[in-house]
Amino acid sequence: MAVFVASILAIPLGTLVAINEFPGKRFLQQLLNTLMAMPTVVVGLLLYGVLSRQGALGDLGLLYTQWAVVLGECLLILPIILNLTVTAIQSADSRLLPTLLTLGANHWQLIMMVLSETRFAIMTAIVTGFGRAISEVGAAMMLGGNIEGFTRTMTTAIALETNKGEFEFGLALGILLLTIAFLVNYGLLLLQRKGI
Amino acid sequence: MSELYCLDQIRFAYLKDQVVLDIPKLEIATNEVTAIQGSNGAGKSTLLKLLAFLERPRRGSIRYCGKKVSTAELHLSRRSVSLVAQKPYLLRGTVFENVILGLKFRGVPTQLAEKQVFDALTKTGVGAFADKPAAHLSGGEAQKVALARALALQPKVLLLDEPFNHLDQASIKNLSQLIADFAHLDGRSVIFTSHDQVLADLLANRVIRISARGQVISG
Repeated sequence: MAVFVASILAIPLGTLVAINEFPGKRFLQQLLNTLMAMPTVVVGLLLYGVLSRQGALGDLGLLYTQWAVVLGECLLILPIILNLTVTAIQSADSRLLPTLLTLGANHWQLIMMVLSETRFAIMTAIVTGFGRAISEVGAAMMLGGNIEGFTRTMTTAIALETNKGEFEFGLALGILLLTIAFLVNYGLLLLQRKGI
Repeated sequence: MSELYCLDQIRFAYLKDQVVLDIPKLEIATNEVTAIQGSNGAGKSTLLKLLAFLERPRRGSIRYCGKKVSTAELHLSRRSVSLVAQKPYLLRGTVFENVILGLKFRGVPTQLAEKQVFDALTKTGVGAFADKPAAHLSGGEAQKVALARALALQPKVLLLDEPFNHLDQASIKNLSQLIADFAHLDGRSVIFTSHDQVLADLLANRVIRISARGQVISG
């Protein structure tokens, strides 16, 4: 869910940033680079402050819900997908944009075609965001509260099982998590081989 | 002959203080073949990009078909000119998909668009390549496909950047004929760049010569 929401926001925004020139673009990219390395507990801490009872969005009662976890993961991976989308488009062939413009593409057609031409790099951006989201533990723990059957994620479960001394179970969950990451990456590789 | 372009006090630089083009006044007429001739790095390709509305001059103005082109009208003006780059970029997919793309952008009905695509491919001698992946083409074939892609759009102005590069003698002859035929159509014009003076003199009604410092020295 977090990957879906972040992708919907970050990919069009990243495309606009990449194909347009505006004052402060370089600063924005520097900022995105910094945000990519933002510690997950910092995201957790900031959102905890906003979503807690005294916070700006405290009345919504989102803290310790699945929505809080989704929001946290989303904020965490948004700069990653956004920045990788910008980089993917900027690294595309420099003749791509002039070619599309001279073929008469309007702004919307331009965006769609640029995304189509750079789709493998964009997919890599999404998979990287997905990898970050499923491996994250700090924000999920702080915002979701690790409530069994409700806000417990695989990573928070691993942390809990390890604390309980259930090392084998934690390890099994870790292997499952790695397998999911492997399957997603393998799926991407297959798509690239098929040239979709 | 009516005026197609009128460039007034044009100055263009990619980087500050590195002027690529400096043209006080240049008029180009419609229904003519115009050649832009100059050595490598003289600014010929940049001039074509300005004429294709892909770049905006840092100073001066360009009048097109008697009107100054505003930012809001850029898109419409772009749709009436087609530029074939020196090293054209072909998108992923087949030759057919590449050539029909511009027509799809314009919302041309599929049947009519397909006819225009096959006509253009036949004219440029690559009709047999329609289903071939664009990535598998040689340099010369890619050049012909890019030309077909431009012709299929039936533009008012065909801009060709060093169109004779990568072509064998037979293809040069075919392209020369194609340029002449296109410019004979009502209201159509061809502007091409070349570093080959003989070809430029042979094909064009008018040859514009640009100096190494990006200034028009004759024409």
